[in-house]
Amino acid sequence: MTNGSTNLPLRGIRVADFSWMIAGPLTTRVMANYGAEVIRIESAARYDTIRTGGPRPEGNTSPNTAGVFNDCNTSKLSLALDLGSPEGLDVAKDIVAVSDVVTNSFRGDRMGRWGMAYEDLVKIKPDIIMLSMPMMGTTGVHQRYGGNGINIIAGAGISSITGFPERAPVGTGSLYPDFAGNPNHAGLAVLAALRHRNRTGKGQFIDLAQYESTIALLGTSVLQYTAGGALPPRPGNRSNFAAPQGVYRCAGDDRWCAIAVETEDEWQGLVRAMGDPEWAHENRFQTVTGRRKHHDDLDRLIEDWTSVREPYDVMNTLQAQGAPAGVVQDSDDLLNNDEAYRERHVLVMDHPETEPMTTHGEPIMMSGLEPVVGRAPLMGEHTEYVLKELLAVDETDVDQLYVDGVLR
Amino acid sequence: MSQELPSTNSPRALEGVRVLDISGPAGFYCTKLMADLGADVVRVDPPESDPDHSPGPFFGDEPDENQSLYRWHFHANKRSVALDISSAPDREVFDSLLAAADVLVDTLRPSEAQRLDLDAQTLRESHPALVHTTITGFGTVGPYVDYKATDIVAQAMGGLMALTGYPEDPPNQVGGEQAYHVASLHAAVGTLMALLSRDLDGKGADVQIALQDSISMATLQTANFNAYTWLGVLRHRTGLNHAFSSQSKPTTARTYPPTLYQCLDGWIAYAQHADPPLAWQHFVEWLAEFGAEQELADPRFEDLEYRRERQWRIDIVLTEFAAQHTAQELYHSAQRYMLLCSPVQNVEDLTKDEQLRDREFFVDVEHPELDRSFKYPGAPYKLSETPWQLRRRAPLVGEHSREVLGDWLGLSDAQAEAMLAQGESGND
Repeated sequence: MTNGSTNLPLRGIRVADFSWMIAGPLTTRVMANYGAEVIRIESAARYDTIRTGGPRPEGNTSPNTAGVFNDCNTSKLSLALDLGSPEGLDVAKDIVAVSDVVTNSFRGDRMGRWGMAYEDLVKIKPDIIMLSMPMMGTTGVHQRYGGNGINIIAGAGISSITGFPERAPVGTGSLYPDFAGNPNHAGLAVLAALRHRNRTGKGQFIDLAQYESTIALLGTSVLQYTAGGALPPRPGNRSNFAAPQGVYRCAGDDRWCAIAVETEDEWQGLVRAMGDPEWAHENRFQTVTGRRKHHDDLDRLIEDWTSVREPYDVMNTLQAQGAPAGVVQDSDDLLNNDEAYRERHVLVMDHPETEPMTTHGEPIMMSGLEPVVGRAPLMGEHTEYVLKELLAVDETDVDQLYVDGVLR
Repeated sequence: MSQELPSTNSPRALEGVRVLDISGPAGFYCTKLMADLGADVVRVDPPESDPDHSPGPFFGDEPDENQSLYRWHFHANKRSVALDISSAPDREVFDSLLAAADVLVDTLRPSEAQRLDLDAQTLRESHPALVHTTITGFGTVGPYVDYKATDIVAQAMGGLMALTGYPEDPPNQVGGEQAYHVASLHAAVGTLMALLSRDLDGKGADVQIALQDSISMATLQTANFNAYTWLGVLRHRTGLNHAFSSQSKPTTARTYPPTLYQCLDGWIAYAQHADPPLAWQHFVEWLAEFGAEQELADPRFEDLEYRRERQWRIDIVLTEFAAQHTAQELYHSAQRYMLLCSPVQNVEDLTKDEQLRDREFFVDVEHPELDRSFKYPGAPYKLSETPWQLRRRAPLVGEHSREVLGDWLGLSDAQAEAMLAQGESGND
């Protein structure tokens, strides 16, 4: 039951996915969309929190209809097991024995207590690749500390470089590390390990601390401190090196457009777009150094011009003159004002238990290798397939496992 | 599992992968990821550094490309050839390198790519086995294809900025050029998938990433779309409140509880009792350890609906409690109760963090010209067989021109010299 067409890049790869919440499932999402057979091994006794979370249609309480769950688990299979029973664990290990990759995001020794630490798994499948991705990694004094995007972003230093310098720090308004840094770092590590295994026959263990993989996104901020000797300040909306850069108020209720001028040509473009105002010829604005020094004044003058114009008008006028600009778009804008984005990236998917839901298309596009972004599995939807087809357990034994409550 | 420092003799996951890197800042992290996993990444640097395009800050405030901290961070482990690919002789050298490359990474807009004969169609015909990875702002069709996208422009257009900041302030960018980082991550994942696929059938592929989509994915924008479509909730920036504090029902855009709390010496981030059903109990026990539980010990608060209606009371109790303690005290005590809490840390805090020290996260990189080494951020993942490695500082512009022509094209030093002399690239 591999996904879609036979030329997808991860054809033939099978993943036993014990991960839950968001970062782990998003790691295997891209793999499933690109042809791997990803089997979610779910506990029937304790649902993945995201299955029971939101957003969901008003009044609907099914574990199958949560929007975030369905978006994070496209194209996967679901097996519902009682992982508290020895028989359930045996089924899980049988799946590992026919898998290439095992993933989990538990903190502490959850997998070890199930008898599925890396050392155990290599006895079942010698070339297995195992990914563990708890917040703090699997070693170190704080290895049992827990988190999700909310506190990881703060701990890892991103909040310290976000916001206006004179204001309190600010979050990202999204569980950014869960959605971006951590699943993609994890996915890349797994793919690298697959390449190594294909070449050498050797599997390996991947220890990903979501804390560290978020620190990896600080860019030059670390060297600014360790080599430059100064902590990077909260930059507001400004650039480290160019000017002007900011977010400027436009006509309408809470409407804004980002403008980022990096080169002399782009500065000239901005000046042309604004109708070549006299102030733009003042000496103090003729060099990057001058523009950075007088950034506050410059912002006010630019905003005088933007604040009486519609945001899309500001963007289009600037871009026509070669100056980078982009509207601060919200959900309504993305769905209704940006057709190219919607066509490229937003899918509306039917669901057997609820009204159609929007799902991300693959952000990774490949010509000639179209991903198949399929519906997320209902709880236990593929239990029978996995047991009968994959593990070749015969019908009566499968029935008995249901009677015993091992399968749900 | 091992805490040993990776030895430079360890096998490399991307051993033998040749990457030609003509990307701008949006692609720097993509090729860094590949270089740190052992790929041979060759940067094509313009021979004359353009002051407009040498982003600071600089070491010693010296505006020199070779002293750019930006270059140091993103181009470590890479090699550099200096070529001006818009000049014919240099282009010839570039084309020879391209023929020997497995991967080309660029950040050209479609019109720029066409002007340079480096568009997807041309490359597919001339280099069928090449994995060609491109990061654009807005994809390859539609009214915005040739719009310029910097990091903040992409954060705006992809929907991240609308969610970030205080309602009374303008929307905020997220610091550290996150659009570039996420798009680069997507590009690296796509590139590796294409390489695995090529190992099976010998065919190359075009990997295409749009900064806008990467940011949209990094915001899990469709959760907001579904909330908007199903519930009529249009989310906007809410300051101290993060988006998906998991027990808060998004009945309106602004009912999410705060996630940042001011303490004696800074701030903490706290993901409210995100792990039911025991988390509420742990939360109350945590407060009680300090005698700060107030009325929250009332068993009626164990009921989720009861709590939701009194969320503001919980916020006040926690705000008052946090204000009386240090960030470190709150962090470690909360974690003892399995609660999801971290201090808001800056880079200095990170360099002193015990966990990072235990895991030897920071790496010292030698800069022989300066006779010094500097602390760099380390591995985003620890692979037991093919460890992430930072082997050497970023190359000086053109440092490896002859060497790369030797390695990739099999030219002797003299031949390489002659080929480079055709251009005016001022190598070495």
